[in-house]
Amino acid sequence: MIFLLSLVFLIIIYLEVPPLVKNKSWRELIAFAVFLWLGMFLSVPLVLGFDLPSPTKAIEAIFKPLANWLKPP
Amino acid sequence: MIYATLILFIPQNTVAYAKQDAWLSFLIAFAGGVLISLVVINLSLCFPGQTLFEYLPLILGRWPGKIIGFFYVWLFIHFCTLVDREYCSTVVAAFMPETPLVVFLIHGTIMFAYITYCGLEVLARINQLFLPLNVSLLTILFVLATPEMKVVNILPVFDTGLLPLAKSTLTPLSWFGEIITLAVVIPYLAEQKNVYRLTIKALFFVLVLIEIATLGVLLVFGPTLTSSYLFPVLSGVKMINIANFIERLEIFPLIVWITSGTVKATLFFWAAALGSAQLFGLKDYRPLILPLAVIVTALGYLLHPSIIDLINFLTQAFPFYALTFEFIIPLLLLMVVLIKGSGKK
Amino acid sequence: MKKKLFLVLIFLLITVNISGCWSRKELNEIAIILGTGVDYTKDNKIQLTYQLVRPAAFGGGGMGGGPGGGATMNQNITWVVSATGDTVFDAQRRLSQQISRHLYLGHNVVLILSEKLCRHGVLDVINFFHRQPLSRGTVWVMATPQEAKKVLESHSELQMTSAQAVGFLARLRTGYVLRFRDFSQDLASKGTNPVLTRVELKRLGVTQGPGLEKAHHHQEVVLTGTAIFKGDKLIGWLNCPETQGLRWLKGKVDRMGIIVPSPIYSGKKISLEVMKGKTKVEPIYQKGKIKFYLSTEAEVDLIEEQGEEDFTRPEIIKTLESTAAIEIKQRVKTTLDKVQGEYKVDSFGFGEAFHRKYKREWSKLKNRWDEEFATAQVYLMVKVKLRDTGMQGRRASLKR
Repeated sequence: MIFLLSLVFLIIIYLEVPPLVKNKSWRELIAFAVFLWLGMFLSVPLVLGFDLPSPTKAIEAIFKPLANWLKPP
Repeated sequence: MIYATLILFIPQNTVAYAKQDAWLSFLIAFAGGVLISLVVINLSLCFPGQTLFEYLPLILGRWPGKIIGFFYVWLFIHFCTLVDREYCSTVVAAFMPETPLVVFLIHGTIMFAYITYCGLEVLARINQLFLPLNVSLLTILFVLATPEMKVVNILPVFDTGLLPLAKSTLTPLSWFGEIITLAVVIPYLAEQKNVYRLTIKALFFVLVLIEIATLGVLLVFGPTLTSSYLFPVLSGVKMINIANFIERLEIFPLIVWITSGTVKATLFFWAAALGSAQLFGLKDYRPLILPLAVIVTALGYLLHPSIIDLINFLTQAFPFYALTFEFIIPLLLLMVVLIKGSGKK
Repeated sequence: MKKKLFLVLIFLLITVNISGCWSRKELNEIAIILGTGVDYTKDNKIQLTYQLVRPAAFGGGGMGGGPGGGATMNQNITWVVSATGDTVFDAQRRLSQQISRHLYLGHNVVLILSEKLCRHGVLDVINFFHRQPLSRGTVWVMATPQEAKKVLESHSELQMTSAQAVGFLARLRTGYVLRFRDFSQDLASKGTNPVLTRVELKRLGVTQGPGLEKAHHHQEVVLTGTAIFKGDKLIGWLNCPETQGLRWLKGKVDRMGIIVPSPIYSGKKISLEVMKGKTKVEPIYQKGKIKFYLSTEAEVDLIEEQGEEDFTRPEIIKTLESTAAIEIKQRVKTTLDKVQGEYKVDSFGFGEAFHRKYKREWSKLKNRWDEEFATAQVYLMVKVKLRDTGMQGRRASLKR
């Protein structure tokens, strides 16, 4: 699985990076890198089998008092 | 360009609280949706030709604006993921329990990514293609199910009292509130002048579709059974049997779900891609599509361990979370704009 | 170059996915279930019985013959298998270990519950059929005083399988029938108690054919009344005439026969058939007393007469109409006495009618509705209209 995932990332980089470098659009490259890092950060641990905390839990924690009010009877 | 979101899950909570009056709570939610859209449109019209992400820094100053902007990017990614996950979970739970969820998630995101790559116009064309199909399918299914319907199932009206009715309104309201995407779409609309009329029309259209689904299901099952089913519409369609001949029509709601879900999720995906590009100050959002697709897929898998968790989130915490971004923040922004008098009116 | 690579990738993806056979269930890998039976064994276990179709018997060219393509003699069409377990799924799991195909519930026609299970309570088993994605709300649910397994171990003379035969019988509304959706709705409601159709395997008729030396007695599954529940537990049965009363109370009376005594010629009878009928329930709640006013309207057709009434005369028709009304009232009263008086349950959905009219009072009464209902007064008004008299006005043999 991890090989497949790396392959996917390599393909994405291969598709997107050369034209950005050629056009010297560095801003785009930075944004691209940021998002790609985020994606890697989320997907690699998933594939490797680590448990990441779900962002849902944070949202649920923030809105907990209100959400409890909406619990079905 | 017509913009319409189709929402076909009937929230269990709405039925659990409002019982046979669930269709009423959608009516009330519609009124709330109109209010939200008025706020959003007014805000957008103060900055003609600019999207939410462009005028946020203008209103709040450079950095606070960008930070709120990133919240909105997250919101759109989250919406997109949620829609994606809803539809994929439906397919897995109801049709193909052996297939891993991630397979459907990957398919979904590839589709969103490709449509977004092609641009907003392609998305609108897809919607034009599928919308008549979906509307007619839903209507036909409703008509076919009429032999199973009993009017007594939605009687007595106003049985549960005001507070449960109000509570039941929140979830549908937050879904109507997804019209916040308008703040990104408006600059790209062909007819700027008719935006009020178009929006109300689109919302009304959504209302009619939801009412078809809700009333249909309530009339077939009554409130208690409806709230016990995870996919009431699907179970309702399963009841259709005309002369032992027209039956087993489950595939049709699935078609409606998947096509409308694709359009809806792609719109959010597009908004997220465009928003992040504008926040970074890029000319083109296309380089960001593939990384975003990876994020959406991973999040889709990560956000909820099970469909029950997903539904609980959607019906409990989600309304407040979504309404904060859909209503409260735009309202505050509008107030700031009106007080400061910034923007060109 | 890059476009080409992208295209190749997309084509690869499409070819892999469009065949879409991850969760495939090929027709020749499934065992189609037509009838399901659930029994409650002596050692408190659940016995699940499936009537499976043997597909080879359905196919082939020999279908041109009789109605519904009746099977040829000496051919096994169905295979009835059963297993016991602690839960329904436990039993099914045991079954699927022994059966070479996937058990496929999507075409199930009937669900038959045995008396012992019903007396124990049906909530233990029916949830399985709610959660299964393949199970449907359109399945006919029935109860049997016999063993459900025995009922399914049968065949039908006219249909391919006995399960299908029961399904068609139910579609013809020859008794009070209801489907899984209706049954679950009744179970969930506080304003009514569920009822179930009663089925039995009974000796019915004689089969005969060329080359057969002696007549074969045939056993067929037939509807023989109604099972009355209190909550999820069976508490009694209604026979066929009492079921007719129940159908009047529920307002589902289409194509029901009524035999009334002739108003003029004593000892003679007249047969009528109900073409259309409905019952309106009007609850009245006064000073803590519950009353129900039922008004029934029926349109009937004349089928036959034994006497010599002249049905071209309006006053004769009037008399017949009132005689029929009395007969219907009698039927309803018998059923009411049994269900309300003896079993003390509300099987008719009167509680729901009460809920619709008195929302506030209902919230106080709903948890002890059956007790309240047992003391309620029920008044009955029946209006009958003679619609058609068949192909004759007056009898041909009438002496003028």
